[in-house]
Amino acid sequence: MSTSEPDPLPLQKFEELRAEWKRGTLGESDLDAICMHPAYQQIIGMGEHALPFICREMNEHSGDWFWALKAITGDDPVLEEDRGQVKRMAEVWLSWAKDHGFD
Amino acid sequence: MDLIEEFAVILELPNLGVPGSGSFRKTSDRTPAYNCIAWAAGETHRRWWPDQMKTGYWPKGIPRESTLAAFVQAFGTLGYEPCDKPKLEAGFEKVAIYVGEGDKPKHAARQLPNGRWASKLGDEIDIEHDLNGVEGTIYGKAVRFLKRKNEVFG
Repeated sequence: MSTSEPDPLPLQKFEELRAEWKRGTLGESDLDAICMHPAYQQIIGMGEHALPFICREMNEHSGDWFWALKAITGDDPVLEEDRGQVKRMAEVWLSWAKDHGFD
Repeated sequence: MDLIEEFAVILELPNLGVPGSGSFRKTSDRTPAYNCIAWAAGETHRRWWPDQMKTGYWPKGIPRESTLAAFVQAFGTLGYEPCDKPKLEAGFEKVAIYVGEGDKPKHAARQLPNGRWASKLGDEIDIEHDLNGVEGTIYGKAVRFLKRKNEVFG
């Protein structure tokens, strides 16, 4: 993990959007609805600035961050047979982030 | 998820009843490892959903689309076939698919041997409830029922 602290302003924006997203999708199972939530889409709009925060979230809390990671990075390191397995997908993406300097 | 958050979800489900009233009961703690469709399919190790970014599991060969037909086909890969009614039937277990606006699937529940239903509430808790207990804004209405043989439902 990187030892430098992220810029506080993007972090604050991320945390506010994250909280709004979580509130707005509580109890939801529809992945399209979850990831099309306006706050989630704004997180995607933060681009690579959001990646360290998303990684920290996945490490500490899990969550449906895979859409955002695919959209921001343009990559998809998850194997087809692992789709839907949240813990496995998080491990793969955290390894990807470490390899690409985003952890 | 603390109790207040649990009840926040529950409060969006007006038919569920008051906690402690016997109309529903919590049957597991919160986990994001599986969702309602997986739970209805009998799985707890992955999330099922035909999302367009392909992050959820969806059975091979089944159209990856959020339509009632696709969801019926998805459960069909587990041996489920359409049936007329949700009533408990000896020798069969049933699944109910709930749809929202535009008949878009929003939720599924699995029938228990006692005739009540089991649902996973998104990333949150599992509950046992009456069929219409989870109908409402979040999950829509139960409109399609499927069944398959299961001798446990004797």
